[in-house]
Amino acid sequence: MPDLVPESNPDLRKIIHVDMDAFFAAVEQRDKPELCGLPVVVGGDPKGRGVVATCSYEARRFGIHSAMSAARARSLCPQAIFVRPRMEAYREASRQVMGILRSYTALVEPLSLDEAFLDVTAATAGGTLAVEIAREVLDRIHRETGLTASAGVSYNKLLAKLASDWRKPHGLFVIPPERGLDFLAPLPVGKLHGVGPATVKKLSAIGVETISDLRKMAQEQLIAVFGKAGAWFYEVARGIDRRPVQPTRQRKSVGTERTFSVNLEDRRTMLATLQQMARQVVARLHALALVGYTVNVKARFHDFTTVTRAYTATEVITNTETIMALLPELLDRAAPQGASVRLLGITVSGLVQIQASSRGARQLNLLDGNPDLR
Amino acid sequence: MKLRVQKDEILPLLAAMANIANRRPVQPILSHLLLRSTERGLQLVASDGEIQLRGELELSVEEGGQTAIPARKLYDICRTLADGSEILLHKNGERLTLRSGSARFTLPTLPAQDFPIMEERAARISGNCDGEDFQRALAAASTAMAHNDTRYFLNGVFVEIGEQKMRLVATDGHRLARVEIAFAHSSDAEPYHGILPRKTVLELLRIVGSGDIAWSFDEQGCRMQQGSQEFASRLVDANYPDYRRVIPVGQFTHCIIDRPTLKTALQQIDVIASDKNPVCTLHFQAENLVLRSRNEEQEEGEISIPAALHGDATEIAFNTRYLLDAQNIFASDELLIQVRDSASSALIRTQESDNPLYIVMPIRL
Repeated sequence: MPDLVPESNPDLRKIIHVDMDAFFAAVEQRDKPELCGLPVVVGGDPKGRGVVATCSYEARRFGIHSAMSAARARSLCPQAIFVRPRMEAYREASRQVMGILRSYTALVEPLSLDEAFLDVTAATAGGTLAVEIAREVLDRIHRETGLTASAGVSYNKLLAKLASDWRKPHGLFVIPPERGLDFLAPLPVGKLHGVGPATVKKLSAIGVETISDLRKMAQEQLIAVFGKAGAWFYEVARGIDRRPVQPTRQRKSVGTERTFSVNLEDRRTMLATLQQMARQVVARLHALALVGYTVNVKARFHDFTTVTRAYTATEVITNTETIMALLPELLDRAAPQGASVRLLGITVSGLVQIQASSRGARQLNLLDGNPDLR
Repeated sequence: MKLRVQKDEILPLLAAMANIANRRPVQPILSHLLLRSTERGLQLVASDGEIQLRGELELSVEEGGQTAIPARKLYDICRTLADGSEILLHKNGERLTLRSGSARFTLPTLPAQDFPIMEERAARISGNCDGEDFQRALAAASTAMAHNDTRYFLNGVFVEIGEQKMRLVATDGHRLARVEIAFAHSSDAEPYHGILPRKTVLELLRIVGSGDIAWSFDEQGCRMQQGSQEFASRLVDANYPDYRRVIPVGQFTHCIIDRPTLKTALQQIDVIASDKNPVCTLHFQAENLVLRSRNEEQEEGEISIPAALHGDATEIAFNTRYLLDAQNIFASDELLIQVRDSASSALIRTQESDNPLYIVMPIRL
C-alpha cells in the first residue's frame, strides 16, 4: 500500500510525545535518596482500600501497576515501600518539565502532569531533526529536574505516543513516516487510541486481533458496526491521525470522586457525600469560569461494577442548589436501594465558558423573586 | 383465559397502552399489559407506575381469567395482522397463545396479581367538562410548559378548579400561558389545585377525544373517565409558583394587531433570527408594528405590519419562537399585545377577553 505512506505529504508534521518515567515514584526517589533502587509504591494505604497511583520500576518487576489496589500490591511485594502522594511536589516538578517543553515550541499539549505532546514542525524547518530536539529535551529534563522521561517521535500523535512507550524508561524511539504502517501492523488493536476493552472484544468477535487485521476491514463495515468510531479505526489502522496538538485543550468536564474506606449503605450518607462533592465541583467550575449543562453521578459497587447516570438541563447549571436538586434522583437511578457503594463521584460536563454563554442578549425571567419558588 | 377479539377494535387501545407501558422499566411487570376478563368482555390496563390507562372491549369470553403480557410485543403483533382479522387469545399455563389466520405466536406471561393497579382514593373534587374544550385548552397551555427544568414542578401543567371553572396554567420561567374552560362541579366543593406531570399532559393530549369527560382529583392523583377508558395519574408533589403575581397590572402601551399577519411576519423574521439566539425587536409605532432581527452573520431583516397603538411608542426585544408560540394559544383574528418597557413582561390576549392569556418576558439586549 505505498500510496498510504505519507512521505510525499507536504503537510507532514513532526510530533514528539514526552512521557515521564514512573513520575510520582521518581519524584519520591529523587527527594528521598534512601528510596533509590527500592520498590516504591505511591498511592493509598495498603491496609485500607487505596489504589496504586504510580510505582517505581523496581516495584513493577513484582507485577505491581497503577490502578491496582494497594492491598494487592502489598501482597505481591511485601517489602515494597508505600508512600502517600504529595501532589504539590509533583505539580511543581510538572511545571518545571512543561517549562522545558515550551522553550522549544508553543504547541505543547499537556495530557496530564506527566505527559505532553509537542508539535515541533516549525522548529525543524531550519534543518534541525525532531529526534535531536527530543534528545535534548530528555537530557534537559534529566539535568534540570533529576527525573527521567521517555520520548517518541513521529508524524502524528498516535504514533508518537506508541513510540514513547517503546523504549521506556529513559528511551527515545523514532517512527519515521515510511515505517509507520509496518510498525502498526503487528500491534494488537487495543494499543490504538480509542480502542478500549469493550471494542477489543467486539473486534475480536469479527476476527480482528491486530492492526493489520483491522486494515483488512472495509470502512463501511467498520462504520456500520462502530458508527463514528469506525471511521476513526479505519484511519488510524492506516497510520492516519489528523488530531492537532492543542496547547489549550478544551476541558470537557469537571468532576470529583471518592473511594470510601468502608462501603456506604446509608442513602443519607451517600446523598450528603454527593452534596459535599457538588460544592467542590461548583467551586472548581467557578474558578475556571465554566458552567455546564450535564450533571453525571457515578457509583461503584462492592463488586466493582460501575454505573454512571446523567441529567442534561436545558439551561446551564450555575449553582450548587441546582445540582443538589438533581442529586436524589440521579443517586436513585445510579444506585438501587440497598446497594453497597464503594465509590461515588460527580462530574459536570457540556461545559461552556461563562463569558461565551452570557454574551449578548439575555432572556429575562418571569419567576425571579417569586416567593413561592424555592 | 380464552377469548376472541377483532383486530380493528383492539388496535387503537393497544396503541395507547403500548405508549404508556414502560419500555425499559425497573420492574419488568411495567412493560406488560394486564388483561382480565369481565362480565362484559375484556379489560386492559397499562401503567408506568405514575400513569395508568384502563380500557374495555365488549366481547364474549369463552374462558375467564387474567394475565400480564408484554405490551409492546402484543401491539406490534396485532399491528401487522391484516385488517378485519379475528384474533384468538388463549392462555395455557404460563404462556399466552395468539392465533390469527395461519399465524400463531406464543408469549410468556407474568402473574396478573403482580400488576400494580393504582389504588383509588377518595376524591377531593370531581366534576365534568367537555373533551374537546379540555384538549384544546391543554394543548394551548402546555405550549409554555417547561421541559427538563431542574425546577421539576414547572415540567407540567398547573390545574386550578373552582367557581365552575378549570384553569390550566403552564410556565417555563420565560413565558406563561393560562387557559380557562367550563367545569361542572358540586357547588359546595372547596377550590382545588394540583400539577399534572409532563408525561401525563402528553398522554392526555393523545387520548382525550370529543364527548364529556368525568374527572376526580385528590391530593396525590387524578382520574379521568371518557367512554370506556379510564386514565389515572399521579400529580407532581410540589407547590407551583404563584402565577398571579406575574400577571402585569397598571398602565400600559397596547397595540391591536391582526393575528395571521403577525404570524406571517414572525415566520419571515424567523428566517433571519439565529437558531441559538432567535431574537427579534418589536418597534411599537403609531400605526405600525415593525419587527427587526439581526444574526451573528450580520444578516438583517425588517418587516412592518399595520397595528393600532394606544400609548407611547416603544421598542422591546423578544425570543421570536416565544412570540410564534402565541399562535398555538390563540384562535381569534385579532390580538392585543400589552407592554410597558424593555424590562417588563408583555401580555397577549384578545380585546374582548383575557382567556386565553399569554405572558412573555423580553430579552435584554
